[in-house]
Amino acid sequence: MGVTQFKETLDNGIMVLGEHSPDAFSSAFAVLMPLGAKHDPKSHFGLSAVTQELLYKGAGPWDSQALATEIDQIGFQEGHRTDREVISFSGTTLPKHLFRALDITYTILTEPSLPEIGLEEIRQLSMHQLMAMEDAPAQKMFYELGQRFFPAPLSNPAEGTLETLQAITLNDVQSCWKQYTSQGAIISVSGNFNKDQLMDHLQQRFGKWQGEAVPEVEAGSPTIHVEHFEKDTEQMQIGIAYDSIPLTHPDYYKARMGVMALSGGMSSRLFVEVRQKRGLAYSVFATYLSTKNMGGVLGYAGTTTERAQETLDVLLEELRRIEHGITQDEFDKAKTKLKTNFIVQGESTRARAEGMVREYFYREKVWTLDEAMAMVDALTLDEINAYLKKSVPEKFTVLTLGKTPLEVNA
Amino acid sequence: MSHHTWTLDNGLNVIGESQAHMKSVSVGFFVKTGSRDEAMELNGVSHFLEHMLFKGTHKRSGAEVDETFDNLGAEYNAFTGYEYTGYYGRVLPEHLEALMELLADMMKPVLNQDDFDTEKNVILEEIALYEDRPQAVLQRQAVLAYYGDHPMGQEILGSKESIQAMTRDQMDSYYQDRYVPHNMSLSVAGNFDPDQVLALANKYCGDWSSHPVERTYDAFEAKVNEVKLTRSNVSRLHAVALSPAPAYQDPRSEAMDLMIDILGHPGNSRLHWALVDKGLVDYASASYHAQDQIGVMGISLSCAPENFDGVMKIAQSEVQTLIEKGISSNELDSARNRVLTSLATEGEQSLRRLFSFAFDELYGEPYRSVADVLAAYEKVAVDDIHQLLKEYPFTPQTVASLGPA
Repeated sequence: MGVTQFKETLDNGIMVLGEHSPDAFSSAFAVLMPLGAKHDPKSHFGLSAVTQELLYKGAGPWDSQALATEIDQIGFQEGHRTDREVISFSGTTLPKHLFRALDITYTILTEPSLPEIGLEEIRQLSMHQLMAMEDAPAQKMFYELGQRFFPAPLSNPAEGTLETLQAITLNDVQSCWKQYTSQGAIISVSGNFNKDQLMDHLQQRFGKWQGEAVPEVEAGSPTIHVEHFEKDTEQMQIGIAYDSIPLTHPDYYKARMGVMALSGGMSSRLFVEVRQKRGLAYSVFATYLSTKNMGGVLGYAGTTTERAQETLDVLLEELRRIEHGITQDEFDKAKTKLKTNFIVQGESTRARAEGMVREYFYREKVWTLDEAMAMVDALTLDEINAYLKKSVPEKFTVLTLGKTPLEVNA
Repeated sequence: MSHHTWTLDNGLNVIGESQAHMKSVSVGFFVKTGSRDEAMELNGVSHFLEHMLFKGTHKRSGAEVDETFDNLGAEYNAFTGYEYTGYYGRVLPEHLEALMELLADMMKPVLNQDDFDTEKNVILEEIALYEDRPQAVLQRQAVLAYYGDHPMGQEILGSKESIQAMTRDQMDSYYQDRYVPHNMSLSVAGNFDPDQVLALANKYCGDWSSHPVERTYDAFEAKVNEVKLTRSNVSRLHAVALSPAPAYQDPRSEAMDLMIDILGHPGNSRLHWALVDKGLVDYASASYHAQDQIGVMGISLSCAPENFDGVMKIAQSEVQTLIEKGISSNELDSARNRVLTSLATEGEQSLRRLFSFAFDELYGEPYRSVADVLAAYEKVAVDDIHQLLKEYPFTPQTVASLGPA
């Protein structure tokens, strides 16, 4: 039997996206709210993430341990995260426990205890984790790069800073939690379930959820930074970012195909030029960063100090060379890879649930597999190369972390 | 779902698990060789060789190997451990033959001298990468202190010195010795036709010659050791504690999995509530490594240097309480339910199924379906875990730490 998709709205306006696969052994869901690190006040970076963590210190009738037991008793594999623009809650269960897992999540969202002592524990843990970043050079470099490449408030670090974490009070957390509302919330469910029962169940719980919309915050334009962080490490961490179009832009897949030619498989340009031909680095890649209204491309390599300048030069050269377009061969490979990814994502109920809420948040539409295939088939090499030619990356934010600063050769 | 095990005339075991509703098919070659099988002066050769299999065959250049994978839209990679090396890919079902042909071709590398020299730099970069991760540096030192001169104490990556000194001919002779059908297996999982897989296995691997390969199993006694390391560029205090545990082949390994989950599962476990929930550490977890005729369990954590003594006391008292007072049936249910959901999602994904039964084969265990694995976890009782706690001295034997100078 095949997969069927549906889209329905609860009475209070929450969008529900479903994908029913009768062959699945599991069911998965995701709840997304348009509230993220970008909503944190400047003096309180980390507030959204701390608030989300505090929900797990007790909700409804449960203290933190009882809540963890509720979750584990049904084998509910729970996950939650705070991103730049959204927060999300997701989970996988056996089909027979799906409704129970949704109920637990609804209690966590709407009836958290928000205990003062829990806030102190989370503050300590968050500060410890920030300090531990000093022993994780690549992670540290990405943390700093995100704060410099994105314009405020998209640049807000979800993890906070040592200073801002200290400033967070229980009042701040309560106000932040009050912004969790049904307005703009999106729910997705994927896997094996009965659709009518599911919709009834969601209406009984999430359908009762009320509240006001969170005001939108505007971001400025990205600015350019070149900065070196001195650290006594074996390898230099090199991060490069440049401005591109967001996922919502009609040309998005043209830009994305350019990045796929740069990175992805072992025959992609960065891997070949940096690792295969020159043996400069073990880890080298480029990836697409996207928020609702802005996109970017991130390039990375980690390499020993002596080889770092050559690595940076090669990276920059390859990122610039993409303006001359991609080859027929690269185009064919990227097309095959995109199609394969769309098809294989369907093997994981969790990947589908998490994918659907995000897709809807960005595009206000979830593609069927046929639509995704048609979109890929409609791409042409000429159009992609015309796009790449007019979108030359000019300004690069370059962050390095290691023993000595590097020259950014224009 | 249907399962098939075949042995080709040359001794290559081929295992297939076919599920018509899956969207993909995954294929892997697994070789029973890793750092424990290396002569000391060749430490790191298994992992270096794994890289070299991507650098060219008698039919393809390295670039063509990579191109072929990417033309198929494959998800692919390789990995090396203490006692195995694996190569795998996942593709849409129509590319099954092309993927099998490519992987089989890679198993016959040319080991070109120039490629060997270039790739040596990549390996040295990989070693440098881990040098910047204190937890990895510590892990290596802890393993060395725990195993002493037992082969399991050898590093997977090797050292800068052993890699620099290694020659292409030494690698070739290691390859000739270890990469033969008797020491390898081919696994296929997902959407495929079993008859076709057997025919393809014969077509692409049937003419490989073989000879018997033996692994040596040295006697082992866990070393009681305390290692305290410092480095000027480290900020946090990282610690690892190791003790013996059941081997992969041991019927108690499922009970051990559940016990370790109760002790150290992130988010809900004894160590979580005692340390992470209280905000005393950056993280704390327990892990179990079931290996070939040997097993080890470890506790890892990192914290502010000034908290170390207090934190270690708490961690050790949690282990002691577990040994003395045992577990509750609620804890066992929670741990088991987590496993059940994992198994359900594993059964949906070809690549995860591939790893699961290919590893059973590597360790000489019979094939098990998801239902078989499920049944093995279902049957673990509270008493089994209490028995296990009596039989294994989980009190840490080697404790190693790395902190700021």
